[in-house]
Amino acid sequence: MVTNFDLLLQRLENGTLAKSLVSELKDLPSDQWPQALGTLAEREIEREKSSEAEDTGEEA
Amino acid sequence: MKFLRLAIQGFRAFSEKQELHLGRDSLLCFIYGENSQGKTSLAEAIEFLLSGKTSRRDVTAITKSEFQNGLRNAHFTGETWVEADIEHLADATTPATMTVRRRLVSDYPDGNADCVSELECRDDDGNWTPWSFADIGYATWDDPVQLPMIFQHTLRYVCSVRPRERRDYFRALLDVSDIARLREQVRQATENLSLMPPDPQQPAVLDVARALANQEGFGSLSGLLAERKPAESEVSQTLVDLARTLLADAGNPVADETSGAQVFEAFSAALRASRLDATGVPDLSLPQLPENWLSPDLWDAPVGELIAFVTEAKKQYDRVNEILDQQTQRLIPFLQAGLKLPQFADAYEGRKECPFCLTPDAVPWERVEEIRELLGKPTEIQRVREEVKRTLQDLSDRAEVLERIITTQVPREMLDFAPSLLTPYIASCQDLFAEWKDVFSTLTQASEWLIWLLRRAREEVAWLCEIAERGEPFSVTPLPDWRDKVRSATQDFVRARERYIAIANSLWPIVSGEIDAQSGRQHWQSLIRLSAHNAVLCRAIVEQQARHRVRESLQQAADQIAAANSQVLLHDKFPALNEDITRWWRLLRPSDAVVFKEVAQRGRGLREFDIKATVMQTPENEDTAVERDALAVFSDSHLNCLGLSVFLARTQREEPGFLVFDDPIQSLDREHADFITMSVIGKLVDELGLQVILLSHDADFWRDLLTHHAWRFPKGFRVKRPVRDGAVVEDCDSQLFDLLRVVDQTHRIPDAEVFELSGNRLRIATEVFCKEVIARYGSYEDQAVLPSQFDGTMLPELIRRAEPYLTLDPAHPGKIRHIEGRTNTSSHDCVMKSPGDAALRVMYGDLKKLGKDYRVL
Repeated sequence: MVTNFDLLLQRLENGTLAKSLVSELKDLPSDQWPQALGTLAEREIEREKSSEAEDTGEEA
Repeated sequence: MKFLRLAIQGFRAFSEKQELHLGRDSLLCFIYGENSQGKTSLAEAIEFLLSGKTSRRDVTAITKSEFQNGLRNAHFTGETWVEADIEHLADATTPATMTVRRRLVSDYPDGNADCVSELECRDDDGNWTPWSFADIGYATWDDPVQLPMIFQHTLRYVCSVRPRERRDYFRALLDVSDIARLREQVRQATENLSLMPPDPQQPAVLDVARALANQEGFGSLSGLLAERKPAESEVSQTLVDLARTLLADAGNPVADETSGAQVFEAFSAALRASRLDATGVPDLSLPQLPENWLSPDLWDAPVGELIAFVTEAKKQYDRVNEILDQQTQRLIPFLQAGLKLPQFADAYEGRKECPFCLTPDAVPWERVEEIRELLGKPTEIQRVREEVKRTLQDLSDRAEVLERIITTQVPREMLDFAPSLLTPYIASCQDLFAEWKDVFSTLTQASEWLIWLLRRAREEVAWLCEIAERGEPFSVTPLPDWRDKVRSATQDFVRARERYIAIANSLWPIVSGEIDAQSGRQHWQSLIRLSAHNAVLCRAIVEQQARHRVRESLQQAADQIAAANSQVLLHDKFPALNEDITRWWRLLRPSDAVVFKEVAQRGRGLREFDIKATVMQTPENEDTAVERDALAVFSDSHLNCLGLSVFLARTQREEPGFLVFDDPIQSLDREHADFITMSVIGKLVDELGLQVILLSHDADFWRDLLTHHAWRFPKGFRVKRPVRDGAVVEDCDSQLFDLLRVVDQTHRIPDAEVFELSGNRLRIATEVFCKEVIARYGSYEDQAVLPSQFDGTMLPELIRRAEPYLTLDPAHPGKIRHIEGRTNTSSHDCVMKSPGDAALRVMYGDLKKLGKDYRVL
């Protein structure tokens, strides 16, 4: 059965945060979305910070 | 899922248990009730059973408290529950029957909380066990149309003056709310994402930096905060440069070659000097205590050891003294005997000096002491005595060190002058200042008591030293006592000092801030704090910028989901329904040629969409087509039909098994009610196999439904609410049966007025019979007709139209005319002559038999 989220994924561009976010959440019960989103946001922050560090390191 | 039986107790208008047996024979159930008789209560009982709540509270209440205790019947003391026998498909083909019940545990409270209920299923043993509709794969829809049920209040959404509410209704039916919920969660996560990192130091440091950056002269800090990749050295250099500039401006320039640490040292010194100049109070902080000043290793244990050593030494001292005394006593007679020897006696006769050292008065006691001293010097007594003296001195030294430390901790002059000097700066912290004075006083008393004890202890030790020096016996008993007193006083001092530091640490930033503000140097302290957290500031900037970017990404993701949702809505969801929407519309309003082609977005928001309708003068004449935004421009009547059409299209797709209409013709005109009766209901039952439960306050509509679908054997019920009782539900398939029952109950009463009433009822019953016969067996221009279409038609005319169908017996038309003649001697409204008891009974019997013969009863 094609769900709304499957339809949504077809409409989202590859490589976007939106697409990876929907892919991660679509199979979870909605009451677990807030926690999953929090975890995902923290992961993104760490990724941003590490890319910062890499950039700084490269410049150094 | 289909309902075979419904039972309601204690719910809203219902008090005692009421049952509706719907059975398997028919998929139609038509319930009639005048306004305020309990009709909507019945519909909401089904909603409560399915969802555990009433959507009316969410949709219509201004405040949730309005529905406080809104589910339980206020006059009923028993339990509140709704029960049903339901039939569902256990697998693809096998129907299964089960009894489920929802009990109200606690009603809606005063506030926003929900009611509490328990849904249960009766097992084979008759026991109730917790259950969920999800167990049979039944799921609710989205607000405001949660269930396959149309209420007056949900249809009110369709015609709301607020376009957004109208769209909410249609959006719910188009079933993209799960995506909308996801997007809302992403938006919520975006808002919840703190820009401040979890490390508690980082936000504080960043706040100081940001506040400082807003001050004139700190522009370089603003630039630093805006930088994406500040290095720690860059942050450090910026802060040092700022301090250097401020010092130069204040007339205290530092040399270029001065290191960063030295610059801030000078900077801090300048700030302290500035405060001292302003207040005369150097600081509220106490001098640092030497490291480990009270460590058990350095003070307590060694003092204990010293005391133990002195105690032990004292024992040795006493023992040696005793031995010495014994030896001396033994020596005296020896010496005295020696003096009596001739050679000595002759030589020293008449003299008393010692023969060995020529001391006069040779061996008086003092002389013995001298001898003992001479004897003791090279011996153990001398060593022990020295040890004792040194140990006591050590004790005294330690006490002196402690006394000096304590004395420097609390300069007496602070208590004398600080309060008055600080007065101009404590306007905003009077209570804290009062507390500080209090703890300062306590600290002073504790320190003074400790110092006094230490001095007395030292005096005691000094006295012991003197005794030891003299070689006299002494007692060490007072030493442990003094040690305990000093220890206790020291602990009091430590507690008082800690309390003072806590209060002073709170007070001093306020006071010093006020002092700095009054001297125009309020930002110096901030700069010093920043310099102490150089690395933290650097991390905080990186962290915050990363969080900013993630927040932007999340916001962007939410927007992308919203945009994609619009695409899903426009290009996936609506096209799946639009043919059915148009089909249902044509059944409801065949005279209005409208085609619903697409959902189009209006503006940027997801909620802002409309259903594009192509309106034509006639279905054949496409040249006259005009495109309209249906939700924006349709009239209430059109919107009502569109709302029903979309609802029915969605129901068709979901196949819930049943459908409940609560007064669906509220704002439709009579003509469109007829289309529901003649077209829609039949399609729902025959094509979709849905069980239809319809409630109406319109008796004509209800009668039409029962008559038109008579061959489908619909179940008819009437909801009534006798005075002071709860609502009751009566089986009521036939209006004719009702009327005849009244006649049956009254025609035996020998009273002229009752006879007249019975005659009236009989005449009305005859009218109903004729209308039913015409509607069941006749047609008008090949179109089906409904009983209500003959409302207002006189009985003779009704008989004329019905006669062609009364063909089962040639006598039947005559019997009807006989009734008409006896109950209506002239016109409809005239005062007729009442038929007598016997005549009434005959006519009642004739009409009852006719009703059965022509299947109207």
